[in-house]
Amino acid sequence: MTSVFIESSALFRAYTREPGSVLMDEIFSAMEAHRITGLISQFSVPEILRGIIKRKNLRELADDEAQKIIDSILVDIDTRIVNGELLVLALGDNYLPEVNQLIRSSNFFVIDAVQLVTAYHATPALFLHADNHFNGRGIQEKLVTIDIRNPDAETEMRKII
Amino acid sequence: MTVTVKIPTDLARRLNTLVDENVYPSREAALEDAIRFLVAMKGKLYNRIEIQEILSRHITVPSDKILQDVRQEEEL
Repeated sequence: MTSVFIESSALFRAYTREPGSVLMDEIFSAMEAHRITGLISQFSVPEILRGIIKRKNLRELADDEAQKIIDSILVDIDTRIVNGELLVLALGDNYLPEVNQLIRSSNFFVIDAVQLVTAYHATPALFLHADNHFNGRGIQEKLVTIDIRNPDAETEMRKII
Repeated sequence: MTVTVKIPTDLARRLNTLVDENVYPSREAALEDAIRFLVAMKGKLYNRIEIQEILSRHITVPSDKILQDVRQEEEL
């Protein structure tokens, strides 16, 4: 089955309404229909949860609402794992030299480098993101990347899937 | 004192699958989450569309900016 790596910034947009969210709705529908398998890094969900807690700390969300949203996201993700729609990929010990090299050569944040190297090893058909850091030429030589915020992202995706 | 928690069969099956797939390190960790989920379910969780509505209503900053802030925070 075709696999699609969903980077944290793309995964977050599956739970918000922003440019790219409609495309993520399509991806999630395709996962539910078992037409594609979604791949995420083991660090993606904690990163999103930290983002929600940070907005709670800034009082954009009430504490009980933030906790309920976090529980809801965890149950949604776990349900998709159980249903075989989504796979969580761990960082292999043997990936670390590549992560270090990527940080040295491309000035990536740690989590960006971890996700990229995890994706390289999973060889997905597509790498979906909503982050300008992943638009560099070096990445596109190794992965087919799509910035889900771009207006032509849906057309690009349909060419491949 | 002993505490007994009755876990629905379907939830137990789903948690066992998560343990088998190494999402949880142990059955004890899965049980902790099971209890948390049971409590949360009593208060009715949101589905993905409802999460979208609530986050969009309350959070005005784009999600990529939120994640970038988290990444910068981790580096401090």
